Amino acid sequence: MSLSVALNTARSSIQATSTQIATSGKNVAGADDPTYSRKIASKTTTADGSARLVSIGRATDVALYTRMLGATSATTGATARLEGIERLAETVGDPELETSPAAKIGALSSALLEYANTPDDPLFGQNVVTAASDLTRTMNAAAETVLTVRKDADADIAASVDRLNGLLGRFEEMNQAVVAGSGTGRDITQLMDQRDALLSQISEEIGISVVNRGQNNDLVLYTDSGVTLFETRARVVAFTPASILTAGMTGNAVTIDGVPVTGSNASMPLQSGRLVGLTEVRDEVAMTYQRQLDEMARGLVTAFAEADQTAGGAPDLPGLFTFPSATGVPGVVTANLSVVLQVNPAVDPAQGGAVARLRDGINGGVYTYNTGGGASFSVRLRGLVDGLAGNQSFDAGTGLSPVSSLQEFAAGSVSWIEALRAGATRSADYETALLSRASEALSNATGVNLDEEYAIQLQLEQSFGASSRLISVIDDLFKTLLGIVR
Amino acid sequence: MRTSLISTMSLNSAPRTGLAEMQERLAAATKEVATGRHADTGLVLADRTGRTVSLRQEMGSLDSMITSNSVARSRIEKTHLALEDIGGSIQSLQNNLTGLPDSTQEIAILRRQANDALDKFVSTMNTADGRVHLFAGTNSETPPLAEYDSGPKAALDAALIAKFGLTSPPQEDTAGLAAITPADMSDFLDNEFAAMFSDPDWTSVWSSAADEPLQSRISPTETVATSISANGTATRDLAKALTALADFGIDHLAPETRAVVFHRSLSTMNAGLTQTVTDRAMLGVSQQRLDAADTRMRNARDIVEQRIAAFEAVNPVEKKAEIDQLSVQIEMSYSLTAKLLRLSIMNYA
Repeated sequence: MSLSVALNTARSSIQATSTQIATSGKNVAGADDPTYSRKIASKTTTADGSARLVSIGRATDVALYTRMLGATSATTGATARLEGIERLAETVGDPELETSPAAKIGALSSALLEYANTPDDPLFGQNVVTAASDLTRTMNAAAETVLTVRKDADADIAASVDRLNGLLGRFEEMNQAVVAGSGTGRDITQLMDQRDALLSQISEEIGISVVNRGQNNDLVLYTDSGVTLFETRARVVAFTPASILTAGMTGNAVTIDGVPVTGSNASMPLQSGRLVGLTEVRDEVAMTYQRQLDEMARGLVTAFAEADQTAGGAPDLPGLFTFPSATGVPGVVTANLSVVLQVNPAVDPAQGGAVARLRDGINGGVYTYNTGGGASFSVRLRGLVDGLAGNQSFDAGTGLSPVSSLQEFAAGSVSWIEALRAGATRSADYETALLSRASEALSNATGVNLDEEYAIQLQLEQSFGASSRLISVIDDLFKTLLGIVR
Repeated sequence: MRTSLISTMSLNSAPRTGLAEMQERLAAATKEVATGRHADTGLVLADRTGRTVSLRQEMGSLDSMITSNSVARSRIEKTHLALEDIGGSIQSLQNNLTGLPDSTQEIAILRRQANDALDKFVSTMNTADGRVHLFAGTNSETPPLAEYDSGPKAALDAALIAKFGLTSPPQEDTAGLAAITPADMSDFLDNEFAAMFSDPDWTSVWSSAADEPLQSRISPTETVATSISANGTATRDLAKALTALADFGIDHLAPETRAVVFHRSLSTMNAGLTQTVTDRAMLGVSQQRLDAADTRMRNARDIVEQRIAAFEAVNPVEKKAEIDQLSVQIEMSYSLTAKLLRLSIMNYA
């Protein structure tokens, strides 16, 4: 009987409409969640004319999502790199504050010059020793900062790997649930949202490319360099933090399934993500800066070294600047020299020394410059001023001019770190802007517009009202019909 | 059906995007107006940061050179004064000597005058500028000349006694002195006496100065001598002439012998005074170079300062305009955010 068909149609419409309202309600609730994607309940008309809800889908845009993931990796990588470089650049400070090793070398040179012009006055000598102590303190502190930055980067890599393993584990569970849900035709949109949220978190740590295997929404993850990161099961990402990270020693590599993906041994090195930024800070930027500091320290020891004055062929010995258990002047880059550089105790009155030794020859014996013993002997001091301004050879691995004066070398180091910082800031800004554009585009494509949801709800309300009205009309009709029969 | 959509979230946050960045720029611009320099110099200059660091060092070293030049200048001026002083006192002695006095009284006066001049000469040569004895060369700690009575006199007495067989003290052996012939005196002056004023006797008896004068670095490339050593010929000649007049017992010499002493002393004294003038001219040259270097370095300092400013300074007017513009933008952004948040279909349903 067509009346009962009409009743069925009205009933199914009410059912479908309530589900649609529920879906819209969910959309409203998820409007402020950036990982939420708009749910769409699609309705269809069956052969008997009744409305039926076929499925609940969600708004997606694979291209935009991939772009967002890529931008996320690039941004976290650039930011991690920038943070490391900024900490290194703090050792230089504003040029006006004159806190950089370069500025301290300049201050030492000025003090030395004044002492050379007034060699008889121990006050000026004391100024030189104070400037020298200041310089060694600055160098030691800068070297310590570099070591700390490297150690922190190493610890951050370990933390990042831990987080990555945790995320992959959860991703595995979520992926299984999605696959299982797809098979049974349940509403899996919420699960997929959650899985996507995990993906964007994973992309913060490591650059990924996502492949959908089509069947049951099963995803496979590769790193941006092509190493499999997840396929049905999560692969093991492993990293052993270094117990000690001295100068010139690169840290350990991150491995996926035993294959190194960072460092010089990696055949398929990662391209983006926090891990890349941190590795670059630990093994490249900070290491090069450390080498520059070590070379500056060696330059200081060399510039102040004392030579045999009797032409007896005795080796040069460290003068004003020395290091523990020194037996000579190192000729090549010496790891950690900037950490242990110190002012020779023999000239430091605070350590029982005498400043006049700087003028006369610190090591004594054949290293005595002031053979006449004159209080105004200035030849050695002027020689030191010239030596400090003279050209020296530096290690090519410092990325700076290999032949320059110590002052130029130190100033070059300032330029080097600031140029890196400016570049890193620019690229971090750029990546951040790109990420915000990509997120905005994605949000526009898959997000919720409250006004639209409200309009839909009004529409649904009408439809619900009409169907309800229909049921009541049919009820009346049945009543009338049954009344006649009785 | 796919409609073009803007999500509520991106609509609401749209005016806020960039707000943080604008506030950051506002803070930086405010700081720049206050200091007149870039808020983050390193970030702006990048690989040129090292240049301003070097320039600041250059300025520091120019400053310290200008400061230490003032020390050198005062030393040179004091040396000038001392040499002038010596020249003056010896000049008057020389005038008296030129008249070749022969009366007992005149000769006694001359001897006393020579004695005083010798004392004054030694004490002037021992002048110190602070801790530095002006004429001591690099051995600036010790007074360069020994007091005549403590050392040189004994050496002279011994030499006189040995040469002429006088009794001690030789200045009072009137008979012995009167017996010295002009030839003997000439011989004494040429050999024994001359040896006392040449090395090694000079440095062991008279002088503890070092030969090397004090050297000052007056500019990044120039080093000049800024003192005269007491071991120079001027000092030796003047000391020689004064000693002969003061302590040969000239009162008791035979007139001919005395004439030899007078003549020789006069010519030695002239040579000494001439050398003093040469020494002063040498110092004058040093001083001139020092002044020129100072002027040059002051100019260089100005230029360096300008170059630092060119690297680091910002235009405050420009920054003020930027601040105004940023404030307007930020205010607009606030008001738009509030407006958009109020914009909802619910208000019209």
